[in-house]
Amino acid sequence: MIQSDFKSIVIAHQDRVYNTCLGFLKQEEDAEDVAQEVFIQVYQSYDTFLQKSELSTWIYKITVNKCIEAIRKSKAKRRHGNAPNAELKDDMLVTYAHPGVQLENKERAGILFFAISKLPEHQQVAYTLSKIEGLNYEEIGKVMDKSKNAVESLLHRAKQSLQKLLKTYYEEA
Amino acid sequence: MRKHNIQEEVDDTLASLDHVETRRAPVDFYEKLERRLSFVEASNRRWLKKLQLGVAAMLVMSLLNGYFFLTNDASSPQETADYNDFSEVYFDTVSLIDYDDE
Repeated sequence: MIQSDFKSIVIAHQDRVYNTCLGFLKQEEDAEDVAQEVFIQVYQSYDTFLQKSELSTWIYKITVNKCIEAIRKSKAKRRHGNAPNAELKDDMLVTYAHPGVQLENKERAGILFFAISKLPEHQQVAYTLSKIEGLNYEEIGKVMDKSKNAVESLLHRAKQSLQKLLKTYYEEA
Repeated sequence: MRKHNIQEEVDDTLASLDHVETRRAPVDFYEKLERRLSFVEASNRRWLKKLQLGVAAMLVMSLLNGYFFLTNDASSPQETADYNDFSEVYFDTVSLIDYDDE
């Protein structure tokens, strides 16, 4: 891949990739690290990119996969370290702070982010892409290789599960 | 917490991400990426070199092996006959121990 082409791809997509990583990982350092991994992957696999989909969709797919990989790794690390992880604990909410959330919403957003992390992977991806990235059903479908209806159903189930999780949290609080 | 309040809290929490600010990548993102990429490429090259050396070493070993095998396979017809005799005696001899009492 020609260096100048690569630079223009990075410049054109870096904000979107970084923001998506931030939506999944919530921490600026982790997001930057994973965003860089995304572009390294783009650089290494560009020759195999068959242009079946748009470049931005392809980069989005890599981003989502890399984020899921990072989340899995950190979950495994936490499990390995025997850290408590089943409940919504106040001290853990610090870990779920997104720098783009308005100050007055920080606490609630922390609770919501933690609840999102408890959703099944596909629901988590669909909800994050919809809520934080503002993608529509069709765009989410392209990234996740799913039909519009499947995305709609995933989001519906995600919202129901979140309602349940949050209700339980506030009832216990 | 009362039921009504709980539902209100849930709704507010679900709406807390409605106006999340889009963040831009850090200013030096590309420079950092370039540095990391050159490091990754250098380590890939090192790995490839090691792999090439390994394959070359294996190739040399198999060539040497083949060479020795072919040059030392000069057994005489007499030796071959001896081996065959030995093999016949060793493998074809029926057990002399009779386990059957009858």
